[in-house]
Amino acid sequence: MSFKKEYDVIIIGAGPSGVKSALTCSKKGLKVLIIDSNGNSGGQIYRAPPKSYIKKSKKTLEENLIQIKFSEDLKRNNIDTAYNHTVWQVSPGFKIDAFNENGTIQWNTKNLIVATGTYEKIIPFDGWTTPGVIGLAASTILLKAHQTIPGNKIVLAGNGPLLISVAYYILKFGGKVDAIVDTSSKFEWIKSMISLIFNPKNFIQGISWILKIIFSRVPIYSNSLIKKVFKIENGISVEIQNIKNKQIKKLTTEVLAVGHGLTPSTDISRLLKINHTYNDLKGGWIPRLDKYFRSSMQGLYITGDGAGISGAIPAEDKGELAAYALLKDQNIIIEKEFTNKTSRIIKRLNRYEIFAKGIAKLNFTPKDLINNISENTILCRCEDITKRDIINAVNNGAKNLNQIKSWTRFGMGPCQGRTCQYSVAKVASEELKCNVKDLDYLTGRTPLRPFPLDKAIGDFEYDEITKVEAAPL
Amino acid sequence: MGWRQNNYLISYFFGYNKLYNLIKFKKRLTLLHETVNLRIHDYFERGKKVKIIVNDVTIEAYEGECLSVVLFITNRKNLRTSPKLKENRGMFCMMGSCQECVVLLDGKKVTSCNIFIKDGMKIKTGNLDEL
Amino acid sequence: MNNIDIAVIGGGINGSSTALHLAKSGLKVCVIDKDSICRGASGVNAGTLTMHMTRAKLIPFAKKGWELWMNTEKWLSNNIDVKKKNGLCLAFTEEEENLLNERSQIRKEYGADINIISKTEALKIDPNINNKIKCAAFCEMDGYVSANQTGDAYTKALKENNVEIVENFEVSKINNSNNNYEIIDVHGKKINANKIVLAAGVYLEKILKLVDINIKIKCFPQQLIVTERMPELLRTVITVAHGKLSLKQFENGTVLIGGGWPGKGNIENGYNETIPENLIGNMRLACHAIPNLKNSRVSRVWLGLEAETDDAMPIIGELPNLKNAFIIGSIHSGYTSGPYMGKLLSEKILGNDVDLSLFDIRRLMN
Repeated sequence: MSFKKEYDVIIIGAGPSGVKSALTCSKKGLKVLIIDSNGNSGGQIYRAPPKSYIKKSKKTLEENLIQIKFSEDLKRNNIDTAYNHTVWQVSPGFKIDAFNENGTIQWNTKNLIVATGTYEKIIPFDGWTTPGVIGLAASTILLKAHQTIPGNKIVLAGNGPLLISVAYYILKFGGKVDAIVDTSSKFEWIKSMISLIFNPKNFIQGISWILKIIFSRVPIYSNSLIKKVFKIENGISVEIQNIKNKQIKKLTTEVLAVGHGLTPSTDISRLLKINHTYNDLKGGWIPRLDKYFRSSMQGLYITGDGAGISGAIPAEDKGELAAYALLKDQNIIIEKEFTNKTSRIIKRLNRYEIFAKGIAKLNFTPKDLINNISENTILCRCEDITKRDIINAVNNGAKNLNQIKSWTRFGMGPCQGRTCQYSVAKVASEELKCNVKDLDYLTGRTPLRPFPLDKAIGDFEYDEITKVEAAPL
Repeated sequence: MGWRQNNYLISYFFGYNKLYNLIKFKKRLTLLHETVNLRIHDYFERGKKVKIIVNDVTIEAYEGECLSVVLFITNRKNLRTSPKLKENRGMFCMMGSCQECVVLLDGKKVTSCNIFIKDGMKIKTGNLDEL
Repeated sequence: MNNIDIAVIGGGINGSSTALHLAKSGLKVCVIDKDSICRGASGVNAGTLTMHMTRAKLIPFAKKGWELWMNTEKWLSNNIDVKKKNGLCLAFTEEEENLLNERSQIRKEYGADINIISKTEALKIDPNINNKIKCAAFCEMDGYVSANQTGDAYTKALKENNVEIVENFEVSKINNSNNNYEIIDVHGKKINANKIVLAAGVYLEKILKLVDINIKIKCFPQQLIVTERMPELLRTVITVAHGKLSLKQFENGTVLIGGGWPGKGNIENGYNETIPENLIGNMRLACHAIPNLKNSRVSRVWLGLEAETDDAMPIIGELPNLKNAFIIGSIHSGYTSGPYMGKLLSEKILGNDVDLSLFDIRRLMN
């Protein structure tokens, strides 16, 4: 695909909300570019199988069908797609810098929609860095996108609907689930299911998943967490602890998939230095936006789960809403059409909130998970920084996350704190007896992803290097 | 429905499930030479079979498969070591975010969850900073 | 807070070093910073301790600074990473070779032990460098500090010497009456002290206005690039003839690429961004110097602000027309010489005979 230098709108993230934003803008005649680091549209939730996989049977997973429609819609509307492009810098104005396997590229636009979704939130425990321990979202991707069962024996742990979803798919594909370890109680599940009734389709789906799990006789440990994991001869040993009576149960398994919900990706919004607000039910730090997903920066809209976790179902609506705000701000649609189109979407989103809140409560991080982190447990995986290192920094006077980072090196590795920022903040706030929001968040930095130097520099002669004034003598 | 009918229904369901899984299990055993094949072939046909070299050992995989996934299911979960404690680390988030699945591909550091298998790839795993 | 002898406004390396030496002499000192201390240039610079890039006239001071850095356990902390390394300054073209010869000679005249060596000798010292160099300058008095540890190290040392550290105090007014200074922040909080030292780095122009002195201090946003951990890529500290590259590899395997390439920044709102062709240019120069650097990935890029006066020389000494007021700042390669410059100023403040005429602020005033 040959790209233009400038677009009317650029959308970063080709998940459900990004795609819907792109389609909405394009239908009004705007020149649109959508960028994604994956090889196809769909984001994480509807992640497409690799291009080399050929569809063979008549039966298709529903997620694959949704993704295929996204791609067809984007093509039919002549939207430029930059797949396999990793955005490494976004500057105000806006300039988007990305790299792919051939080198680097820069695009300009006055309007930017950021729909980069979420990361998985995983609260550390002893041995969580052992190979064989993966995320719940990671196992979803293995199952649905890569059509692979993670292991011969699997234990699932954490909280939230992903636990049930992953268990269901493993069983559906013929795998074995040794146990489900859920921090919530069965009563909390029932409460959430009640709010699900407002979405009958998902309610029935949820019930059918739970039934399959029950009929497959998968042991379910409610009110429990993973105390410890370590490597043994032919797999890993998993210690499950009941939160109430502290009893321990040991299991041997091959793979442990663990996840405690999702947290919005704020890489770009932090880099652009807009304001954020802390909301645990929405996943942690989220950008400060109005109800049409406008940020405080002109031309910048942030939508989808990156604007606050509400899941896949309202994602397209959120993307559409942000696009309408953009169209109105650019005077492409008038007030009447704007109010018409958006009021319906907002009504739907408000109705959906009830369900979203119910599910969000299941992903709420219980204090027990934080208290379960021992002093020697690694929090920052990139730099091997333990809970004790963080506590020492805090006790020596570090007052916020940026200062803790400066003193301990946490968050300085290749992942830039994406994996650990949430837990480090929880641990530090417990120690300081303050609110997590008082610790602020890590300053956003470029590059947004590790940037291969060979791609950055390309082929060059020495005298082609940009000239700068020599330093003074 | 009476108690007896209920139970009958449940054990019918349960038994059917077990049989169904057993058939699928056996089916998977016959594809590719591994202890148990974790690849699901029901919905998609994978690309052609190719060979890659991992730490000087040749292994078979399908072209276009995800590198970190192939290493994970062929019992090569240790991909690199952590900087201070020298712990083994491997695939974790599958989203290109955590950077735990970094390996050396033809000498360069790459996140293996973003790499798709091509014939002849040379991969190194282990203590990458001392290789 | 009572009976403060000296308030140091600005807790970077200059201010904190001055405060530390004053406190060790028994004075009651307070360090004030609008942020956390050493979070400005002092915490984010490349940490290079080299003579190859030091302004020639500042070499005698940089040498003393280097000595202090190599002995931090005596005056600062046991826990800051400082490494002595050989320093190689490379020339890739004939023009650069001439420049290198000329500059090294001048630096040598000011006391730096720099010698020109052949390509073969340079490759023996560090086999990782590009074998296409014309020649190199060699100096043993080189090395680096992990700048991000500066804050932690100085905080501990200052506290151990009973220095009061007041952070998140943005000075908006300085009143002078009855041999006493009243320093007031944006929220109205007050600190009183007998003497003041202005060490506010890039904010010096703003702070000087509060005492009715108008000096232009330029601020240059400069980029720094760090890679992820790698196996050995270089074993020396590398610079180049025209001075626009610094390269070092820390014990943890990460490689820091610097050299003062400009970015864009706004000191008012703190926003800064890289200029993409400068980022690429800096990376290309680095990969030209150390070819195997191409195999690594960039983990982080950030910008720091460097302060510079009109004649690119430091301002250190007494403030004119004010009693008991001093200043320290705008020191090129200030990280290397900061600890020594701070010591010099503290000596001056204590009444000892110190020649700071080279750095007198009056040269910049009309």
